[in-house]
Parts: sequence; C-alpha cells; structure tokens
Amino acid sequence: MTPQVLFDGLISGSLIGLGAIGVTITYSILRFANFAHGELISFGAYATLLVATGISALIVGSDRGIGALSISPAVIAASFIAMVLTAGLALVLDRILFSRLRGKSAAISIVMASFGASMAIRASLEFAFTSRPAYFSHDLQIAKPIGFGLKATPDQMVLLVVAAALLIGVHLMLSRTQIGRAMRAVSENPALARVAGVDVDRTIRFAWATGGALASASGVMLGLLVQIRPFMGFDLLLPLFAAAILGGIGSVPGAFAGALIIGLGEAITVQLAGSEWRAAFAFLVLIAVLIVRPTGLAGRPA
Amino acid sequence: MTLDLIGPIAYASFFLVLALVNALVCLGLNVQWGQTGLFNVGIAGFVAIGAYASALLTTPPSQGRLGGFALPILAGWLAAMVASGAASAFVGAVTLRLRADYLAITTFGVAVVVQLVALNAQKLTGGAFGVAFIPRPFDSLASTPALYNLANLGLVAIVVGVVRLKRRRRRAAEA
Repeated sequence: MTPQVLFDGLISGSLIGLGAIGVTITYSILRFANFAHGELISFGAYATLLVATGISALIVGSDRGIGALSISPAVIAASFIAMVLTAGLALVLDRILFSRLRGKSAAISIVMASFGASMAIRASLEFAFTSRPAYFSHDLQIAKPIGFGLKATPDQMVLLVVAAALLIGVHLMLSRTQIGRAMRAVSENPALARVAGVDVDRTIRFAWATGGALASASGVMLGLLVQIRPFMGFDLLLPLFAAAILGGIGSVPGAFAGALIIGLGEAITVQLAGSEWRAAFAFLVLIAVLIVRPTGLAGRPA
Repeated sequence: MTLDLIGPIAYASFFLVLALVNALVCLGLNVQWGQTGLFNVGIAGFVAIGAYASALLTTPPSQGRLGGFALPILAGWLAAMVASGAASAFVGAVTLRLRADYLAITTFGVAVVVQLVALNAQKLTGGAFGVAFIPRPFDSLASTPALYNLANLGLVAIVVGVVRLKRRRRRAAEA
C-alpha cells in the first residue's frame, strides 16, 4: 500500500463529505433519510455544465482553464449559480412534496416520497442530457509529484482546498451564527425551539438550501475529477448515508470524518480487491456501525 | 380455428405467469410495508438472492463456476426461500431496534451489494452472463408451448392462492 492510496481516499472522502453534510443536516432537522440527495448532486453538476456552456458562448475564452488547471472561469462562475439553483430545487421539492407530508403521515411515507423524487429527477436528467457521460473540460490533467512520494493533479489540489474551506464555512455557520443555532435547536427539539421563538419554517428552508448548495458543490467536484452522469449522485448515495450514520446523525464534523474514513476505505478496497468492489465498503461500514454503535462516532441516541 | 386460439392462450398464460410472479413479490412487500410499515427499498435484492440460491443448487455442474449441484427443483425453491428469508432476518435483526429510516437505508445497501456480487463474483454467479441451464418445472411439456405455459400458470396460481389463503386465515383468526 502506498501513500498515494491515502491521497486518493482523501479526495473521494472530501467529495462524499460535502454530500454527507447535507444528508446529516436534513436528517437531523427534518427527521428523515432523503433518498433524493444524490440527485441534488447530479442536478448541481448538470446545472453547472449548462450554465458554463452558456457563459462560454457569451464570453469568448472564458472556457479556457486557469493556469495549470482544467477549471475555467466559466465553470467557476457557473458553479456558484448552480449552487443557488440546486438550493432552489431542494426548496421546491420541499414545498411541493415533503412539506405536504410533514407531520401528517408516518415518517416512512416521506422517505418513500424522497425515493420517488430521486427516480423522477434522475429520469429527467437522463431524458434531458442522455446517459452518455459529459465533461466540463477535455483538457488532460497530469499528476505531478507533490512530495512524500505523492502525485496529484493541480485540479485535485485546488478542489481539496475548496472542500476544506466549505467544511470550515458550514461548521462556523452552524456553531457561530444565529441561523446555525436555530438549526441546532430545531434538530434537538422542534416544539421547544418554536416555543423559544425560533422560526422553524425558515430554519427548515435554510437547512434545505445549505444541503442543496453543498450537494451541488460535491457534484461539480465529482464532475471535474471524474465525469458527469445522471447516475453519479445515485451511485454516491450509499457512501453518503454510511458516512452520515458513521459520523453520527446531526454532526457535521462527524459526517465529514465519516466520509474521510469511507473514502479512505474505498481507496484501500480498490487497491486490494479491485475497483468493482468499491461500493461494498460503504455497506460493510454501515452494517458494522448499526451493529456496534448505531449512534455513530459523534452521535447522540437515535 | 383451434390453432388460432392456442397461440394467444400460450402467450397470455406466459404473461400471466410473469404477472403472478410479480404479484408474489408484491404480497411479500405488502407484509412489510402494508402491515408493519417497514420500508424495504431493496426488495429486488432479496428476489435476486432467492433466484441465485435456487439456480446454484439446481443447475448441473459447470466449469469455472462454483455450485451446480443438480438438486431437484423443489429443493432449490426451498433453499431460495431460506436464503432470502435469512438475509431479511439478518437485516431486520440489525435495524429493527433502530429508527425506521435505517431499515430503508440498509435494504437499499443490500440491493446495491447484491447487484455488485451478482455482477462481479464471477465464480459464484457467472457475472454479467448469469447462470444458464436452470432446470424448469414441466420441461417435458416444453415442446407444446400452450400446455407448458398453462402448467406453469397453474403452479404459480396455486402458490399465490396458498399465500392469499394463509393471509385470509390469519386475518380471520385475528378478528
């Protein structure tokens, strides 16, 4: 095993982490496992692709990579717009689907509804963009040595920094700001939070928007490093859930730590058993956590 | 005239067999979702576990693949029920004391992993090519499609009927 495995695990762990934070936030505030979260990831990637194509048609040369990166100014600008669009999609889903079921029916019917939403969005993406993989850039990225026997492409380096910045940003938002405290209050006890003067509906909207924006960022990263497919988010769903549960539902640092463990484990699995078994690792972790410690690393009782 | 009818009958009974097979899956699902509110997302995974268990036991031995015990069809079907039931029982034991969503997530994981194993454990499942030469019931009738399909239809209808009857009895006992 080489240190390179650790680095690859770090990269895919960061990707999973951005999605897992969204899963853990929706789970702790809305109290259901959102099976449509993977599709927010795919939607974010396709929205970025679409907007970036529009920008590069309007502004000549904006689709050229910056320096050694394959990432162009058009993609960067588009990724911000896509974060807003994906947050919007999450809010629309909540408005037309989840909010109607909230409080009225069993929690499990909301999970079923999210499963249906997942299929509907995935099928729509496949219909609109076909199932052929798409790419932000066809530039070839060459991995360069970065010390300690590691090799990385410039894209990977930049995206690691971006993921870390997003993680720190979300953590600060949850721990230091008013809305973050409201989110934690609602996740502890919605009835009590409402009595204490927290605007629960606004907090729920904010949770959806945060989860959607992070999912979009994760989708763009995945699209830049691998490719864009309608199933890209769906294939990530099991690792997302495993990471969120491993970290302890509701804990943002926990979800990210869980994601790093999953990413690392997946990289090791690929090395030892072959890439076709990658997804099995997340399942093993999921089962192990549910048997040994269902509250996760940082969790409180479920 | 008779010839004209035999074709459609064979065709219709073939599709009725498929429909009733799906009905069996739905009856099982209804026990979980409908009567206990347990959201099994990966029912197809459990169907696959049963299918592979039966196929591995009843097929003739084949090179490059484990299994192939050439057991009777009935033994294969019983083993399928045991294998799939055992997998469900394990998932239930792990998740049922936890939140309802955990069952949904875990069964989703089961479906993903079953697909992985089916596609990649070539020694066991034959990979993407699958398992061939699975013995069929009423194979001696296969030369007359209408008879063959009707026999299968009768068999599946009996199985569905038995399941329905058992449920009605139980409901009557509860009432």
